[in-house]
Amino acid sequence: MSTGYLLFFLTLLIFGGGAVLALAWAISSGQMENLSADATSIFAADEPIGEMTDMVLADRKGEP
Amino acid sequence: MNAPLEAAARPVDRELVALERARIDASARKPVLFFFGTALLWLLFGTVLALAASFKLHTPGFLAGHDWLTFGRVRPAHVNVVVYGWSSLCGFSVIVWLMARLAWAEVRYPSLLLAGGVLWNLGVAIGTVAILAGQGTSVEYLEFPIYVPPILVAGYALISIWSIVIFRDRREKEVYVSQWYILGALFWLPWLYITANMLLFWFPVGGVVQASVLWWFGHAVMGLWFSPLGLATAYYLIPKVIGRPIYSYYLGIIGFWSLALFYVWLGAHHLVGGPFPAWLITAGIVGSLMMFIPVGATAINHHMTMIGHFSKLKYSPTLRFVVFGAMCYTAVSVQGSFEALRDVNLVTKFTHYTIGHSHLGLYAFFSMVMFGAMYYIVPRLTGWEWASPRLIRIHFWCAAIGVTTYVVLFTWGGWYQGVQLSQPDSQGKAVPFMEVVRYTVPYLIGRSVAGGLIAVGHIAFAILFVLNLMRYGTRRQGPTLLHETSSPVEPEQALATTAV
Repeated sequence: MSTGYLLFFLTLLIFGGGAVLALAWAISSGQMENLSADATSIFAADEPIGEMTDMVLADRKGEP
Repeated sequence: MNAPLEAAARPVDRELVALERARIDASARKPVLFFFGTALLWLLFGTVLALAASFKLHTPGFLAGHDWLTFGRVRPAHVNVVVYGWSSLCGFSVIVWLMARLAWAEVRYPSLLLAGGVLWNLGVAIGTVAILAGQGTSVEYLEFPIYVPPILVAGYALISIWSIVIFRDRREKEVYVSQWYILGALFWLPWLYITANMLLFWFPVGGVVQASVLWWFGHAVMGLWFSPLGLATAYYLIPKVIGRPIYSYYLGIIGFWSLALFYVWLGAHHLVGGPFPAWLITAGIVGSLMMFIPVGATAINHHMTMIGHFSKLKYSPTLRFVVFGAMCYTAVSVQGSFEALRDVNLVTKFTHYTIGHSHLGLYAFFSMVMFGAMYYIVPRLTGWEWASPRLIRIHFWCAAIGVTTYVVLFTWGGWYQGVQLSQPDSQGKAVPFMEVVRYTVPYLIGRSVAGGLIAVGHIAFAILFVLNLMRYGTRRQGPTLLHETSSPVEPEQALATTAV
């Protein structure tokens, strides 16, 4: 029983502390500063904004 | 926004970046295809178990002659096969592929990921045989006997550590919201799984505390493992497929951190009516209602991103499955929040309503998003396009109509089952239990029909997957087809055109 409670509080400390550290890292490393840059980071010259990247079902009716 | 992101980027830039992207995709090919392939095998096996369990509820004599095929073994085998086999292995695939793509980093030593996948599959196989052999623990979602979790944890450690190594190697310094969700999921699963196993089996807590540990795990594993992976995929694929950045990155971040803050409290709402301190259950209910914040943020974000682009659902199988899944995420979350209320819980607890709710979450939301991910990822890894648009349509409509029928039937039937169980009839007498059981039979038969439809969709998808691996169909056009044989591009040269 006591080992169980010890484990419980230990994991609470490790994982709760981990979450706080992650948030602190995100703020200090500037992840919260330029949100529009984050949003466009998935696009690049080969797959730019404005182009669809999946049209497998387009063959029947032509491209959108 | 930088010039390279515009459609008018110079052709040479476009080709260089495409080659770099192809090289990164190729580095993830073996582990991701292995995870997807084995996940699909578990899905087919899980579907057979599901149909067997479903038939038994309205035709009790079905397959009743063998003890290893009795309901008490088939049902937990189904649950564990789809949770740890199908869903988690799909989750590993999207973790590795998305992490590599978003980090612009190659997967180094993919054989270590493969080894992790082999261990994970071995654990699921041993655990499933053990459940069917009657060695299940009878603790819901943790039915694998206690010698299986160490195998799963060893496999998971290899996969998760290697995924974090990809993140550490990242050349794209902006952390996209999908990466937040993936990192969160990688961090939360071992916490939940190891703690629950320790407190329930290795150093068992006593009495009713066991139930609170179980439901802390049972509920949080859905919201802190599967939901983040489904949302990470949706947050990447919806904007990527339609070619439009997410409507509000800010809402995405709010959604992530509020999920992280509130979700872990939710499990206590499973204990409504049980012998627990009132504050514990109330905390669970409050946490459940606070989920309107992350869910509302996510729903608004996805909907506003899609506005003006819904016509693209006609052309992209990925978009169809992912948008269907994302809509069901909103539905299941709102339903879950209301289900936590004491008055609602009084009716729905211990009824088929709950089973409908769980399938709305793990199938209509998570599995549909994973299907969408497979439609997008697999051709980029094999270099071959899907062989048959007709089979894709069969898969989508069977799955969508099947699961919608399933959920509607059990939501309606389960609610009135609960009303009859919890409230007296018009003459003030308790409704006889067998009468309530007979009332549910048509809904149970309907569920088997819906399950059959879902199974047809799975068979169609399995055929598509095998055909793709066997290179039937058309070859994909463009540099994303290139594999290890392609001449590597200098990363700096390619990345110079991708920096945002």
